[in-house]
Amino acid sequence: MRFIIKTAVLTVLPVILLAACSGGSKPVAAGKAEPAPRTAPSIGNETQLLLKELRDGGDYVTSKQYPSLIKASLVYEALSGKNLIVDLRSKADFASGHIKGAVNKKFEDLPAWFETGIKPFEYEKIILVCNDGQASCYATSLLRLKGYGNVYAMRWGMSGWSKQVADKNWLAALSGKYETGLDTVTRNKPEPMAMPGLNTGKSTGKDVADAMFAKLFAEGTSGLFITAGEVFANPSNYYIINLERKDKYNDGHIPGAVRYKPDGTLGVTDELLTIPAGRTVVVYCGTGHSSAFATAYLRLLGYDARTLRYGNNSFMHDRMVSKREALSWLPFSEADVNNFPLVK
Amino acid sequence: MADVDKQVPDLKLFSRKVVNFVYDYQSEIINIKLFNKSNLNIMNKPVLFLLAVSLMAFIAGCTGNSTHKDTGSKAEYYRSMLFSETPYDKEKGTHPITAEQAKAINSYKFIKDNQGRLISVEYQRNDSLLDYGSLQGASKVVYDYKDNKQVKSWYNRKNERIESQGVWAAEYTLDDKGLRTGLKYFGKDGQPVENRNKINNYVWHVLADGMVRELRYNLKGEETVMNPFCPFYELRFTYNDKGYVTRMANYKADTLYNCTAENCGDIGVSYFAFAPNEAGDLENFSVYNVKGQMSNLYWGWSKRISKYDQNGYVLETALIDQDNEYVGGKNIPVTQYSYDDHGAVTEIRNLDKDRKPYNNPSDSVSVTKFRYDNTGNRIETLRYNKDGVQKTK
Repeated sequence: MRFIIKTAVLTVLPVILLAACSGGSKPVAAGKAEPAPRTAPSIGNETQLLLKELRDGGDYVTSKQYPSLIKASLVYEALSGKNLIVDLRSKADFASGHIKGAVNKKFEDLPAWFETGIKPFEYEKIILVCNDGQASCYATSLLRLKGYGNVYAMRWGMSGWSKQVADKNWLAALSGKYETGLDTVTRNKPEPMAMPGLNTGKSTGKDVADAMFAKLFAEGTSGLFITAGEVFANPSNYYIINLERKDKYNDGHIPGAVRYKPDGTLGVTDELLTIPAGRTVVVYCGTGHSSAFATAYLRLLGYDARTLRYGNNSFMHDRMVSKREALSWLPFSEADVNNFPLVK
Repeated sequence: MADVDKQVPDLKLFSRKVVNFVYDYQSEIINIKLFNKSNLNIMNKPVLFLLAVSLMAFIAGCTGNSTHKDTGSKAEYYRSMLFSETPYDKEKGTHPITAEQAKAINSYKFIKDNQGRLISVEYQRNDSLLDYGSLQGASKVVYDYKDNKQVKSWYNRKNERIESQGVWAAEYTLDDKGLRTGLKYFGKDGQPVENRNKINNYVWHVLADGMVRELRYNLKGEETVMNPFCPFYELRFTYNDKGYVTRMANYKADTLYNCTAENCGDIGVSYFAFAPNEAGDLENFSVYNVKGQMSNLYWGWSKRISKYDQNGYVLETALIDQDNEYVGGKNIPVTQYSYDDHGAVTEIRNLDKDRKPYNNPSDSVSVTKFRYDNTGNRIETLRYNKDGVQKTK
């Protein structure tokens, strides 16, 4: 009897102990291995510091204020208010006619001027204007990300203010040249990958941000834009981001373009990780405004991002007009041009 | 809606009449409805007053500890407030319960005077005020009447008067039928003020087609928008045969208007559609442009679908964007709720579109749990990420 008990104890006890040591995890069926957990892509230390700095600063790109655009009609109504209009155009363009009271400044000079030349928060609004609204969107996005919460870009730029400017800019840029070459295949986002590495050598989020802002303002806007002609010549050279509604994307997009939600991409790490760090990224939208805002954020994070100048209006304008009702496109037209006064 | 008069014992009815008399007596406005002239001949005013007070004390002793035992007014209890998008709507409850049930269930206690006018709404359990209801940040709302004016004021859980949305008092103008035709906001000093959305007053008008038109004005008398991020000027509201709002539309010159203000949806926003169920629970809230296309408003979603239990407690909300897909980015696709036996929410769970635990991208919280004391007051809020790790802030 004692032998039987001893044998039973020696047999059963190890089984119980082994079961107890298994941590209660569910047994894995033989021959059906669990999928290996995907390794999270790495995010460099400086990038992490920068992302945290941006979040702590109010996370502009996910806020209600993003993108900070203002129509020319509202600017006109606000002329008598405590607002400052900053004209980013060339001296020659400014001299040929500008909004009364506007100050002519170079893009590259904005950070220093905001810090020492003016008291930005004494103004209700600081409104940036350029010829077509796109460089000013880029500048506005950077300044907002830098913490200036009262900066706006005027939609359509001075083209929305005066026919004289629109004729040379927005109205001259409208084209349907590439609308027969559009793609309707839905492209999926790639698997998450590493974000660009930042090498400012700084150790705090603020210092990293300041270094990146200084770099971007110093670079100016010369490498910021890309044209439809350049992209359509060889779309595979670029990682193309379409920032539009699904129905518009499905109706026809630049070959190879991947759609990202305008409201659900920037500021969302999982989405940013699907944008390849090693490629030139082209961002486009209907008008070039939203894409310029987004491009500022991506460049701040180290992406080699460009914004497609004039957006869809520059390569499928006729299609936008014909499908204006069905898809709520915003094709630019003379109706968007006001006849507000210019001064010299 | 239940006829509360029929549910109240005769003793309470008598109590209400006596209370009413006492109130009038103290105002030196003798109400002789209860007492005929012969009674008045034999009883002078002080005697009547003492009699009334004695009766009140007796009845109060018999009726427990109701917060409004002194008014003897009509009380109705509801688990939820009816959805509303405009202060034009009279406050209404949904999912009625009995006074007995209200001792153990969080509810909105509606009290009406003997003319059937609403005099207060309290979020309470067993006559103890609670501070997490849907009363514009208050635990109690009180309504006073004078001529054709209804004045609304707000109180916290300690029964202290408070501001709501930057306003001390809201004065409605009522028409002959008791419908609201206007609203003005006032500050503590009795001067007109604007609320947080820069609105000082509203004007409402029922149009020939049955829609209710709403216009808003600031202190300068300028027409003003609903709020800075939803810059609608003229609004028109449509109601179904149950009185539930089903549409809020943006109009200009008698025409449905597409608001294309910056940040008001990239294709414009024209109207909100509301789909309540039979009980008034809002099952579907969606936003469209003038052509009927789904449009994200500033909040980043276009449609909110809600599921309720038989008591009207929301069990799940799902947010859908203008592409008719679950929202992404910083928004939470699905949220589920659990409740205790008192109807107090005990747990909120953030989920992805597949109903898997999801960390809020803004704060990494996936589950929020609430604990309450015996009277129903919230005493602890605990937050966890999807791995069950408690968040410290």
